[in-house]
Amino acid sequence: MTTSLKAWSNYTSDNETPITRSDKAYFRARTRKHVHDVVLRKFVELADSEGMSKAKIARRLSVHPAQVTRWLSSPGNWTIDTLSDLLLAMNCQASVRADELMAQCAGNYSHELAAIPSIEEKDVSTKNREYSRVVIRLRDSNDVDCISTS
Amino acid sequence: MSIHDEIRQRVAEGRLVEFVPIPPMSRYRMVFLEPNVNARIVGPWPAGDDDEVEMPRVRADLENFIVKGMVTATLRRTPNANFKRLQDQARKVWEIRILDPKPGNRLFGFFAAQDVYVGTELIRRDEVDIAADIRNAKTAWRSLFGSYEPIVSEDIYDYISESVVELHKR
Repeated sequence: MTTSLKAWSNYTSDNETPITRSDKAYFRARTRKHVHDVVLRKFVELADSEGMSKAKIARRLSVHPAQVTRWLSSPGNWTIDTLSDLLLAMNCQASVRADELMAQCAGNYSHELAAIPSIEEKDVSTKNREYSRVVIRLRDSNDVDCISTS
Repeated sequence: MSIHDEIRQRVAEGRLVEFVPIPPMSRYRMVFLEPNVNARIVGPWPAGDDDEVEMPRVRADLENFIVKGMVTATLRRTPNANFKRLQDQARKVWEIRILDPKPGNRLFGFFAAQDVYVGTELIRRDEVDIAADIRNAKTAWRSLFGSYEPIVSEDIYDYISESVVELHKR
């Protein structure tokens, strides 16, 4: 018996088929990548504008700078606590909302070498309720949005 | 013929496969894979096999690269970077490092052009034989592209144009 990732359009609100471990692994990895992306972009923004550094984050969190390097290098096994601590060290905090997955993922830019349409482009249906994607927004200590996500 | 034309030709010949993200999304960067590598990542996989959870993570990593997600990269001996250029005689060869779950996987390959990665071999970290894997990667490149050279530069932005953090500089 073999398994493979399901097409996203197969996940509908009335689908009671158990989620496979492959799909769990995939979406967990996507979520980690997304969260890491948001934090890393914030770090780069503050590094350029305010001289934020890994050393400063390390001092604020009372950890070794090498640990901050590890965190920023890769999402690895980040916990929600890791996310909170990193953002706090940059005077930010996370707020979370859930967005319809399929409503967010369509894009219309193609690299000049992209010759094959997405395998699901013909299956996209905005009427299907898909998995919602959690969108992490960063807010600074003054409660102002620091960065928008997409 | 440009390297882009060469890549299109290899795809037409079936010797390279364009790695296609599952959801429809803008493709700002490209990944091309040897057919056996693509097949392993895409599946299907035997039920209960480690690839059931490892390959979806590889896919998520590559998709993040394609949609211009932030990546970390190093031209030096910096651990934990997402993209790492291999050293010494192998300065043309890169590895995309999918670190989790342990032991992780390594996609050896080259930057054929800016933002265009050609992956030639996917190896579990605990099965890597770095000297042999570098040799195999170089052999695969020569087989695919002959005298065309992959990108070799000391400027990270020659490899990845944006949304990249070069680790040792920060």
